[in-house]
Amino acid sequence: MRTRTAPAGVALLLTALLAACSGAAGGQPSVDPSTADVQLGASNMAFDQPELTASAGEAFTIGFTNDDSMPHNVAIYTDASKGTRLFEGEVTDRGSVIYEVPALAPGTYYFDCSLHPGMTGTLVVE
Amino acid sequence: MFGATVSRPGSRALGVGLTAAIVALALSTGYIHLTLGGLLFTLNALGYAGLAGLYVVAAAAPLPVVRRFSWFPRVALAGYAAMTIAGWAIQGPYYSTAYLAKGIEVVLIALIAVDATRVYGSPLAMVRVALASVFGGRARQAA
Repeated sequence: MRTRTAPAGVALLLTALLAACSGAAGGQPSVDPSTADVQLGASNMAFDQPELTASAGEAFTIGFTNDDSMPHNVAIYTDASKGTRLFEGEVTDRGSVIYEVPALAPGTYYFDCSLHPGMTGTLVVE
Repeated sequence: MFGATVSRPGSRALGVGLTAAIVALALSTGYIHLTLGGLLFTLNALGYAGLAGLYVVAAAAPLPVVRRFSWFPRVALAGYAAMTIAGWAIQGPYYSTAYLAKGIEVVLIALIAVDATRVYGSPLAMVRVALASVFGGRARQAA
């Protein structure tokens, strides 16, 4: 009896895990990214623009659209050394999300995707 | 067939179940990493797939050399999962899918410990067997 129930239990576990994995990779509710102060997209494992511009001293929003099948986000650092992280947006699957970034001092900042450090860009705050 | 060094009566079904569960968990977290894209995650997924394959071979192959080194996939897979968790803990990012993958990896390590206890008596005993299989032979040859 135990011999028969063990493989059945494992099959059930595998099914549940695959279902959980599929659910975790599912979509998230999309918003209209055009309502944000700044727009940024991701496709083919790259951001669609290398440089973003935002106003200094006031919080701003980034309308981020992920067109890839894998998840991405936007994380902002003081510079390319990534010594100090100023903002990290929630990782999102395919779809759009609006990030609310706190006010930054004038300067040039570095941003990338937390999951894919090869996806990078520059944020100019002026 | 399943298990090697200290097989106990009635443990075959448990061994089959544990091995299948461990392989399923390894493939599940490997699949999650594969969906993340990028070289690092793809390599991580391939690592899980390869070690899961080795785990099956070590559990099922009757060859003496495979039995002698049956500890290797257990140690390697547990170590690999632990390193993956540590890398994530340092690097992040911390979000739902990552927590799911780390949960799977924690359960994976726990089941490997249970499997090691079933086969060797305890995880520590498995380490002793591993050391003996690597260094014991040389020591005997030297003597």
